[in-house]
Amino acid sequence: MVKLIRNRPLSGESVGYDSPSNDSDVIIRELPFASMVNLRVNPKNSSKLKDALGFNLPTKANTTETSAEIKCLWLGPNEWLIISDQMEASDLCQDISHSLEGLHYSAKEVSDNYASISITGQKTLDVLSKLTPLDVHESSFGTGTCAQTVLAKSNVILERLDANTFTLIVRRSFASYVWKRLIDAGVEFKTGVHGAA
Amino acid sequence: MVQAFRLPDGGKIDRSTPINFTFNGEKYQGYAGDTLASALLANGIHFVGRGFKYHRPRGITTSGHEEPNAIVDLNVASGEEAYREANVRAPVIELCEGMTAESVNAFPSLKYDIGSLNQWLARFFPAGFYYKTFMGPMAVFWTKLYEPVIRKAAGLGRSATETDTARYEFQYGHCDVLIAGGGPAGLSAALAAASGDARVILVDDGRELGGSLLSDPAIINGTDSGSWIAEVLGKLEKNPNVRIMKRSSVVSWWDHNFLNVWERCTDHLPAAAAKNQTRQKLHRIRANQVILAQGAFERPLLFNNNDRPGTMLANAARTYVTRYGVRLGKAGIFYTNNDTAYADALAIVEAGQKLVAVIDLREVAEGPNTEAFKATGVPIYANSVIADVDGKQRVRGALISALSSDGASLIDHGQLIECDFIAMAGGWSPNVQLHSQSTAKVKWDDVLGAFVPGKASTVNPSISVGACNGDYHLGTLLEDAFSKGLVAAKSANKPGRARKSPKADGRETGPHRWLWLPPGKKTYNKGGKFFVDYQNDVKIDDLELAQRESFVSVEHTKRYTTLGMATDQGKTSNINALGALSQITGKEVAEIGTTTFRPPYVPTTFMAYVGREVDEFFDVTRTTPMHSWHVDAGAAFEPVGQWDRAWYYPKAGESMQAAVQREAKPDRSQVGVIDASTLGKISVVGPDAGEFLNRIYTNAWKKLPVGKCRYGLMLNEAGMVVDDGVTSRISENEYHMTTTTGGAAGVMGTMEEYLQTEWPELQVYLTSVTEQWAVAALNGPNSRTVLEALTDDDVSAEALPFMAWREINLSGIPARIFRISFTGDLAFEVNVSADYGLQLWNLLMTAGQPYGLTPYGTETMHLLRAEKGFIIVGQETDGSMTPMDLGLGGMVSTKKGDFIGRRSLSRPDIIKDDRKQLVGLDTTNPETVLPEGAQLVFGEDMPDQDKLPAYRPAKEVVRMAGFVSSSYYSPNCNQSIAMALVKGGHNRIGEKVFSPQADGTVIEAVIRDTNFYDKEGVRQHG
Repeated sequence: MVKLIRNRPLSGESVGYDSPSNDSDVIIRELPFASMVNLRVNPKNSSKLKDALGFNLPTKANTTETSAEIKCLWLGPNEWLIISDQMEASDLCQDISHSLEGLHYSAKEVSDNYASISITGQKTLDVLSKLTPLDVHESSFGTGTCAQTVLAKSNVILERLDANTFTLIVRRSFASYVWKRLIDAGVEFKTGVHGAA
Repeated sequence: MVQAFRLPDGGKIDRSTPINFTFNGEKYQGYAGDTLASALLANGIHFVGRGFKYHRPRGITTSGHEEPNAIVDLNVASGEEAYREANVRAPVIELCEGMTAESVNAFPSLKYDIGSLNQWLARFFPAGFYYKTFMGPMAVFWTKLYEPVIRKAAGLGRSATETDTARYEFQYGHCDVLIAGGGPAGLSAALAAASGDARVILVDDGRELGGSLLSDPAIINGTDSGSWIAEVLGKLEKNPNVRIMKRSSVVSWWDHNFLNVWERCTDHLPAAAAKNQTRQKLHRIRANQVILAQGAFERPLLFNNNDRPGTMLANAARTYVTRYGVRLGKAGIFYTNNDTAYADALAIVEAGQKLVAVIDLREVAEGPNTEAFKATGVPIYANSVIADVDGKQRVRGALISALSSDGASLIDHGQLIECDFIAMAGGWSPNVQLHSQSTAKVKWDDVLGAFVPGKASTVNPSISVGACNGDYHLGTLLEDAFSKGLVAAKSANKPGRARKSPKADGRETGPHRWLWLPPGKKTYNKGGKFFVDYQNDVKIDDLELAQRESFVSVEHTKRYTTLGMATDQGKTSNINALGALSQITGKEVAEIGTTTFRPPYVPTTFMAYVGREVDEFFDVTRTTPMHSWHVDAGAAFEPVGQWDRAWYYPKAGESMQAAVQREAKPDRSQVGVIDASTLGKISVVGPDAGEFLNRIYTNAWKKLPVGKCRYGLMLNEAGMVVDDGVTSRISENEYHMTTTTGGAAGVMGTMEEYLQTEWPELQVYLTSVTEQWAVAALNGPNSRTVLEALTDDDVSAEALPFMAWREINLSGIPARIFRISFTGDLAFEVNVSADYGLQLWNLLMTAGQPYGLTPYGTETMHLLRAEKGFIIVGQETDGSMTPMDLGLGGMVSTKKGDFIGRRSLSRPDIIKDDRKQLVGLDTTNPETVLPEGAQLVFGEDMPDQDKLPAYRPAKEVVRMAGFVSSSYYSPNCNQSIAMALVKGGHNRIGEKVFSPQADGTVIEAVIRDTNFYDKEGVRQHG
């Protein structure tokens, strides 16, 4: 037996940039590992997951639901991304399977499939607007909304946590590209990279 | 020489801040606030360049983006180093310290230009010159005259040869109302539109907003217009919903109000200040509503030699005098066909610029502005024309003649009035370029003598206000723009709350006379030089010639003469050309019609459209979890789709060929490992998953037991192979599909589409799990031993037979082991969660060392699978191969029912027996490796075999039998191996084929089956 070493998609990618400071306009960091499950099920069963998740699956397009342990992002009419930094993915899948016993659904672990990047700071919108055609203005993409969209030449899942904080969930092999594009778009601002050496 | 042509006071320039610049190698000074054009004029320089075709001297003609003549090459210095930018317009270049500019089209110097000989040869360069002469029979003219002499003389500036090191960026934007133009109309519209919750973007191409008010101030709301502009801007800047973009132009308008706005961020800054900043941005803006407030262009007048330096538009003259404090010359002449221009004439006289005459085409010089001007005492010559211009490199005088009563001829020989500049006022043309881009039509207005916006497009509805809508009256345009601003905001469901429009007394105007083509000393068709399109050197006689030669439609006239096809897109020439055509042909202008305006509205730097998508950002580079190991191992990488895959791992000094031969051996004798993480992986879940796979693949799936794997072939509706891979049954309701690396996204998309649109009754959900798993494929007789060193679980042939999979604990890492083989040898594909991929790889490398574990790249993988005749989709297939063509007919189930592509497999063309079919080739000389892609010829088609190998393929036509799709030297077979697609190849086993090479040699080979190694296939079962 060996000690398991999780090698996150962006480990080592912070080298060579400025560290965040009090006057950073933008701070970019890779978020630590979290369990992720991609759930596909008929939305009419959304309330059946209340016990497993603590809330009904959000059925309004591009919305999110959050409990103390679990967050859920609407990805499509019958597709959700369930995220937890406290529960194991296998436990999440098991809870889901109890709730959906006998129904047609698919719950697949995708924790390793994605990298998660946080971007925050007063110039966050300026950086994002250089890269995504999505309108990230508060009036059309407010706190608590999410979208599968495009960032430069990569697909991303974008989630707004507050006025100036977003999470980008990116397919693992695209993570380095997205990471570098974000830092590059922040060149004209004071951009700090968490974990920078 | 210190700005000898600067007026003692006046102008919106900062006389306390001198700015040094260089033009054609000479040092000059201007002031902060100058443009390159105004600074040159302040130094007495009108003659700044030479024409496109005849190399005639040309001067500064306008004060804006419509400039056709004052084109210069600029050394731009906003990146690491200075580099040349060709063909920029002097009137819109803001002067900055250290600026260096050069004239275009002048060799060896502006004053003594060799190409100007062309003007004496003008009669040999008529309209359509290129079309006519290039069709000529004498090829020698091409190489001796056209290319070296005429083509060299044509064109304008010289392109940069250096790399552009400046930074360019894209920025996306969204708004409820976008307003193009920040003059009085644009400002008034913005005030109204932004008075509610609407998000408003106001775009202006200048360094300061105000438009015509900057050179033609007025009283608005009882205060001077300068204060009014400041007040409006103050209000707009405080509004967080408003974005004001200066130095920005709406260059293109695409469907559904998608607009490109080109912003010059640092072009006005000296090199040091601009360094490392973004030079220009291309904003891609989606607007709910668009208001156009772009103003109008003044037109030149047509007369003999109307292109001499010193000839400029009346409004430009006013702008240079009043806004930039420039003295245009010692004595000027105004030449007008309307009353409004007298206001400009009055303004420049009041500013201290001397005028010696006003030449008025109208029979009677009358109207409110004319009357006001008369107080200056400057003589007015009514019902008169400029019949000719004296001077070559600068206007020296104008020949003034009186018109006959019908305006068709001159009634005297005229008098020469000395002057050194001529201001032309030919009336105004609303700027309808963006309106036209929106796909809306324009309509002719007889009174305005111009095209005005017609009905708005339904896809991109535009609202035009102010001068670009033909409204030149400040009072009415302020009110109209204000109300349209409210309309736009309301249409965007964000109504404005303001109710009080700005008020002004507009200027009353008197009559005009649209005499498009007045007579001259020489008439246009008898040696007169009546230039209509300055930038492309199109004269009135060219237009007339096009009519005579049947290029009558205005679109044909345009292409034949190149009218309006220069970088200024005919901003100043369009209406004059149509008016002149009208006069020549006797048709109404409305009947002649106009051409279409196309993006970009102003010439735009190429790099603005490229942005940051250069070098490492040109495309995404996808990498696997083990990528850092490959890099450290010195791997060469191969792009596969967007992936960078390890291609081979050269040792010091080792060639690719040598590395591949070395990497390929252990996979048959010991053990090799390849990073196979890039393969597409799709989870197929649901009670109908088996039925779904039956319809997607050619073979049957329902009876595949849990724990087993099966190879599948995917066709398109045409019956052609499009993807392949192994799919494994995970549980009763779940399959794990693998696809090719490059095909993964397409397969996922196709399957989701079929589920949603064709077979919604199937209960199946798909999830892409490609990147959830890192995959290392062990191949070779020692592969089990390596695996056993890392696990206590049973991976024996009994517990885990060929084409089965199981979960094991691999040194603590949960792993799925698939016993599938792409080499035909004993093989295990180890799948772990991607985060553990690097650790897995390191564990394997350590555990495998005693057993000769060798990492191999994609090139060796290609070689190894070719030894077994396994196809690669995209190499053995090109979208026209059926399973039968590939010898995989056995993969097609005839019993299970329908699947994608099934009905196509019985079409006559698919079942005929001379289709190209996949075969193997043994070269007669086993050391000779056929080039991939080499064409093959059957023996019966080879010409005159006695002459081989002197045969020269280029001189003979032979029937091609097929081509080589894969070819290698196999160190495991000790011979060259190849696969080829050969017509009817399956029935030609044992026959010879020939491959003539470009060097004249011919490679001979014998057709065989595709399985070169371990024919019985025992090794993979080991």
